[in-house]
Order: sequence, then structure tokens, then C-alpha cells
Amino acid sequence: MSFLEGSKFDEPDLLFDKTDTSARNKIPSRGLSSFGPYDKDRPTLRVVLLTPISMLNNMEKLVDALNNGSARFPGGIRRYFRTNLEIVEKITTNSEKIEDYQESAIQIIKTYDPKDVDIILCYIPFTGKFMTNTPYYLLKASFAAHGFPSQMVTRRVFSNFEWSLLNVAIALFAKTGGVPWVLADGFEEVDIIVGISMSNRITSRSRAGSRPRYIGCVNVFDRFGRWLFFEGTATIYNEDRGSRRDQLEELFTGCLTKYKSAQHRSPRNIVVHYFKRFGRFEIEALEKIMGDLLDEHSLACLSINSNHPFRVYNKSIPDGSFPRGSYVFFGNNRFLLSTTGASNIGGRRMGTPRLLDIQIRHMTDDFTSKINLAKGVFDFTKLNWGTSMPMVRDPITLKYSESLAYLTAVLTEEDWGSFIKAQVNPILSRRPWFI
Amino acid sequence: MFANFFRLSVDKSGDVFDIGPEINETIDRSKTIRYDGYYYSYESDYGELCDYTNSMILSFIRKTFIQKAKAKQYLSKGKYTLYKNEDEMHHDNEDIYQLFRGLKHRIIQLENDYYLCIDPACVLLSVASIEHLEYKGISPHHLEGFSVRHYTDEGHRISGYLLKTEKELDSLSSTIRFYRKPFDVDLPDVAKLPSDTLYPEPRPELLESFLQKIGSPSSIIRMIRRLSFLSSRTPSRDRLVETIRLSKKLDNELFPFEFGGFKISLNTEPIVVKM
Repeated sequence: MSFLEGSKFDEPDLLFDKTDTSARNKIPSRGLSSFGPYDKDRPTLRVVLLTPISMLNNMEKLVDALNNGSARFPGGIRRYFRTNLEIVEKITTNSEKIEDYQESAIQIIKTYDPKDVDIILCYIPFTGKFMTNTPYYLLKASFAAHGFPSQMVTRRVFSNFEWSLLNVAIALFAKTGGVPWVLADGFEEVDIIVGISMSNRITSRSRAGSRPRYIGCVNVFDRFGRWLFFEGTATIYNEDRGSRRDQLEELFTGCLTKYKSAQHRSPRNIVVHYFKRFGRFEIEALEKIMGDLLDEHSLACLSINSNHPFRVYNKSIPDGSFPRGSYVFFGNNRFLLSTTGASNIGGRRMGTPRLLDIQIRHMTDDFTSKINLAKGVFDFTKLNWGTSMPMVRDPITLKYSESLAYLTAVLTEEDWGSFIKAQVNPILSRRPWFI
Repeated sequence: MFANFFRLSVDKSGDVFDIGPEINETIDRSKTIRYDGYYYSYESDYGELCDYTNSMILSFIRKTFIQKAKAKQYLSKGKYTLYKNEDEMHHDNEDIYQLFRGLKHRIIQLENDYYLCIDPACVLLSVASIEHLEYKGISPHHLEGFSVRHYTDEGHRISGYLLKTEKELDSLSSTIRFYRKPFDVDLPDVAKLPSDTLYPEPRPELLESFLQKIGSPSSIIRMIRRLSFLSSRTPSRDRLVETIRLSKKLDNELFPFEFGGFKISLNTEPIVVKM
């Protein structure tokens, strides 16, 4: 082999209306500004505000700017999302201490039913991700356990106010169950795309025994990249083959049952994305589970990994990067895909693109094109409802699953106190509360 | 267009010998590989002459490459990162952390050819023990709530979470909850250990916070960004230039190398990509 071969995917269009197929744009902020969100059925979002008294004024200004807009967010949430934030109540704490937040969280949970509040918007002090006994995780745990989605803001939002508004607005809208955008052109041959993740325990306490144990989650998307629901294991498994098989069985049984209940039919063509190497063992386990639960099915399993040293360079591009959408064939059933290289939809990116190493570990005959499977990974980098950035490195199948698994591990492992049950309320299984 | 793969040529082919499913103590393991449940070597004294596959040769190449690198004073961090002491970035806080220009590598097979993948990398080491940090002026109260590594007397390295650090009379000890232990290590899940056997995880933000507390602030993150070409307007071009420089350095230092009757050389031109 004296050279590698490759090609380039076109940037996909995103769709910003359920019925108008011309409401397309490749860039989320432009599409939202021109057409509003895909889902326009949410005229009001009912918000409970939770903030230290010292930040109340700032938080009120934030809500006002979200509703009415600013120079960089003209028209605000009313234009971009065809909705309005209505503050149901403002709850203040005396300080930023975790005990004060806990008291206020209990007050909210005892006062309100999740049916009466769409989201809780909280100001919290900024803390590092690796510290777990913090207001961020306490509030997430409290509200998730009782069925309330929540949106946290820190001082960083106020120090980058103009640039933060759209991101906060997208997250608010999505967490309440709204659909900001989807892919304009869905995948042929595919019913659902599933992202799997399993998370390590990261807390300082309650690690029982010498070996860490793993919690699994899956996120499920339809062929247009619309997030449908998540499924997580309530049970904690060990790191051995039998446990992993049991975990996969529990996850996929729940997943397929939920899909059938919502769509009134079973999925047939299923694509699974996993950030680790799909072993023969996992593939056989999945095939058996699908065979037991479904009459007919076809299955494709993709391992998607960015933890490797492989790079491609294009000296004809000014910064030398391998452009976004470009890929090379890298052995049989394997692609290296650039999702963050030079592109006309995004500004200058820092550094050299870290490529996605996509391996098609399993593919039944009903899937006719490996290239289409790789394109699916690429298109799914446009669906992150946690940001207005036009491109994100990882496909949303992995990004959401990683976020969900990590949060779930923290929320269910810390000893938050008797008023918080160690699990996410099932009400939230159809809302992306974790983005 | 180019990828950071450099072709490895098998200039001379030798023989491979089948040792069997088990290996005894008389055999030099550095000259063997384990493949598909069996042991093989390039030394004729160790077993029976046998056929071999490209994958077996790949295993031999990978193993020998690391051996040659270590013989040339390369140090390793993890399985795929190499660096040398001569490539250290010198600064005023070398008793707290060390930073090196290194490289990540993989040796892979594409169709019937072998390739060495090289990518420039920063190597950050945390070299101050918890005791040393306290000696430098950090209160024990601030020496908790992060991951650490512990070295046992037998030389095992185990990671854990630092729960607290306490001064008792003249000695400093730390309580750690282990993440995972080797089965032959007799330690409880939560142990109180001398602080001079514990070292913080090499996380730039954590090390910067220590430097801040001892009154010697330094932006490790900025140094890493520079070494990673993040502050360049042409980061990919710069990285490619450095990659080719590293390929020539490795060619000069390690290649060609031999094992048994095999001789492996390196082509320092990166593989072409055609679109």
C-alpha cells in the first residue's frame, strides 16, 4: 500500500420546521434566527428561579435578555424559539453555601409538581468537574430525582454575556422537551441510532470493594437525529463479561420496549455507536438480545474512538488541517474522519483536528453502504442541543451518552441525604435533562 | 495530503519458532511474543520452526521497537508515549513538575505493510510528593480532594483518591481510598499512608493551584498549549513539520533494527493521501 484513499462528505442541512421542508440551514444560529425551532408548540416555558440574593438582579437581567434579546441575540427567545420565559417564582438563598442551596431545593420540591414547572434556572458558583460535593451536583441530583429539569448558570455566563445567551436559550428549550432542530435528510435504511456509554464511579465515598463498578446508559435517536429518550440501568454492575451482557440486556430491553410503546411498532434497522472497541462478545450479546426481542432486525455496530495518534494533513489549506467532512479509508471497515478541520461553516479552530477512528465492527447484509454508516457519524456532529456552535467533534450519540452516564454515576453514588432518592425520576426519560 | 504514518520495511526476513502454550523460566521473554494462546520466538533454541503470519511479525516489531527505544534512553509514560530527559522544558519549579517534548506512537498493519505512526506529544509529570508540597508551604487542609498515585515498597504503583492529610507530631500522613489494587497487594480499601509515598495526579490545573499557593505561579497550561501548537495560526503545518523531524530522529537513533533474522528499516516520508 503506497497511499491512502479518501473523500469528503457534504455538510448536512438542518431542518427548522416540522411541516416546512424549505426551512433549512447548515448553521443552527442562522436557522433558528430565520425559521425558529423545529418544534413550535411551546408558547411558554414556566421557570422557577433559584439564586443567591446577591445575584438576583443579574439573574432577572438574564431572563429579560433571554426574552427580549440583545445585540447578538436579536429578538431573543421569542424570535429564536417562538416561546417566552415566565417566571413562576424567585427563590433566593442567603449565600452560595451548599447547605443553603439544599434548603432551597427542598422547598422547591415540596412546593411544586413537575407538571407545573418546565425548568428550574439556577445560579451557582463555578466549581471544577472533579469535585462532587458541590451545589451543581446537589441541585442536579435533587431536581432529577424528583422529575425537574434544571439549567445551571455561573459567573462565566455573565462574563461572556452576549455570547452565552443563545447557548443558554437552546439548552433551556431542549431540556423542557422542545426540539430545536433535526437533520433535514434522514438516514436511509435506519430506524434508530443508539449511543452507549458506561461510566466509572468518581466519588470519594461509597465505593464498595476494591474494584470500581459501572453504570450504563443509552440514548436513542430517530433517523433524522431527533433525540427520543434515554434508558439507564438502575442496578450497578461489575466489570466482567457476564455483568456486561446483563447490563446490555437490561438497557436494550428497556430501550426497545420504550420505542415500541411510543411508535407502536418495533424498530427493524438499528445502528449502535460505542466509544470503546466493540468486542465479539458484545456483538454476539446484542445479536442475541435483538433476536429474542424482535421478529426481524438488522444491526450495525460502530466503534468510534478519538484517543489515538492518527492525523492527516492538507498542505493546500492555509492552516494545514484536514478539512471537516474529509475521511480516509484506513483498513477494511475502518475510516478516519475529520469533524473539526477547516470548514466554511465555522470560524478558525484551535489546534490540529483530532480525527474520529470509526470501525464498523459488525454489519448485517441489510445495510448496503459502509460509507452511509460513516456519514451518519458525521451528520450526528450537528445535533448537539447544548451549544450553538455549528460543529462539534463528537457525534451526539457518544456526547449525550457520556454526559448522561457521568452525571448518573455522580447523582446515584453520593450520599445526598434522605430527601433525594438515588435515581433519576422516570418522568425525565423523555427529556434531555443532562445536556 | 499526508497522514502521519511512516512505512516500515522488512529488509530481511528470518524464522519464527513455536515454543508452545507455556513458557518456562529459562527462556528470555524479551525475545518472545504471545499470539493466539501460544508463545513464539525468533531464537532457534527456544522451539520448533514454524510458519508465521504478518500479525505475528507485527507483534515482534512492536516489542522490539520499545526495547530499542529504552536502550536509547527513551522513557515511557503509559503504553504509547515516549520521551527523553534531554527533551525536558526547563523552568523554575522542576521540584514540583516536569514537562517534556515527547511523542505518541503506534505500529499498525495496513494490508500487507507495516507503518509507524508518530505524533508529537507533551509529557507532564508530577514529581513532588504530598510531603514535599506541605514542606513548600501548602497547608494540609489544601492537600485533599484529588487523585494521587502511591508507590508500595515492592514497587507497585496504585492510584487512589486523597481524602485528607494530617500532621501528627513531626510526621505527615494522608488517608487515601484506592480505586483499584493488584490482587497480590495486601492493603485495605482505605489506608493511612506516609505522605512521602503519595504524588498528585499530573493535572495542569491542579499543579497550577499548588504553584499559586506556594507563591510561584506559573502557567503550565500556557506551556502545554505552546508545545501542542495551540497558539499557532498554522497548528497543523507546525505539527506536521515536528512529526517529520521526529521520524528522522527515530530513524537516526533506532533504525534499522534487527531481531533474529529480521531487519526492519523506516521510511521517513509520510504516507500520501489521495482524495
